Amino acid sequence: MTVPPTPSLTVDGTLLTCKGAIAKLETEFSHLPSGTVARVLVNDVPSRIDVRAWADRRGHGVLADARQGEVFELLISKGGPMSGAALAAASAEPG
Amino acid sequence: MMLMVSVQNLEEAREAVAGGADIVDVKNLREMMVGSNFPPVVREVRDAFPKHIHVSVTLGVVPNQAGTVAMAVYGAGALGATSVKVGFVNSDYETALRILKESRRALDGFDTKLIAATFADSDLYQGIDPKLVVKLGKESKSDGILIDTLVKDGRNLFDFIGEKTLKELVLEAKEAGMSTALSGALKVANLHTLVRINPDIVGVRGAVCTRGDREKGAVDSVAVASLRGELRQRLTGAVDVFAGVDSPVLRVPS
Repeated sequence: MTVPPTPSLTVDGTLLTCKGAIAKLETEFSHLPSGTVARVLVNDVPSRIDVRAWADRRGHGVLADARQGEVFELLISKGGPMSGAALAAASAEPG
Repeated sequence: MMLMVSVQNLEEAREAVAGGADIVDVKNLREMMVGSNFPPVVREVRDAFPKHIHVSVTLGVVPNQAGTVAMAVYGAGALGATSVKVGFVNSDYETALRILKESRRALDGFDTKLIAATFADSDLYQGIDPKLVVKLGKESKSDGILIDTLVKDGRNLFDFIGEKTLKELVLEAKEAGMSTALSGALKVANLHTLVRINPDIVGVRGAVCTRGDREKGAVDSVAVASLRGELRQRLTGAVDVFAGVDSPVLRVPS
């Protein structure tokens, strides 16, 4: 069974503010080492797609993407080498 | 995505908030359609609502006088506005940048956010290329950007800038840590495209006014609630705005 990596931080993009998840992620990720895994919460479809597009543009990995009720939860690994936990989870056999 | 409704007075502001607006944008249509309202009106609106209802102030189009604009921006800060929008016509990039930098300085000590605004139809008004808005926002250390229109002749934002360009500008601004807002005679029919672009804020007036008339009509809470509902349906995926979209960036992941 795949064990999801433990995120080092949570970026909550569900709060109704002027700045969305991507602006927050940019700020948070700028201070973190490669391989850091962030749990990102968004509550709408276009934000989910934007986060995936942003990760792709920035060279980060999307390790998981699931809907939990009205919230989408994504696990994003900062570009570069993955952390040990993230690597183990990403390479684990499903089942 | 926050819904911003342009209002001219407290009565309209109450209608907007009752209908579900997140931001009331206080302006004065008698001054070049996007002009400033008077300080007592802004104060009255700010005092009427709790802080989670944002009250923005538009300075509309400003003169090429950094000191004068900075004083007006300071006024917005002193009035407790959530944000103040500074837009330009008959200007050039360097002048706009200088004005915004002075505006930034004027807001020291206030919580008010500075928004750099350009107009999609700026070619008609010797304004600044709207595609420079992100650069302008970054270099002036603005908190956010707005792309609006000045013409109110039936054409709207998408008559001047396409979805792809707007999407790129919005993403670039978000990546720079700025808030992003789109406005300009937007209607329900534009919501599919707007949700795909996904700015942080979408601004309307005519679409939520009685008779759909931004000038002679008044903001109506029922119309605001209806638009809010339409927006929510698209944000949640109940109405699929990505159907048939081929772009890998825009396609919904399975």
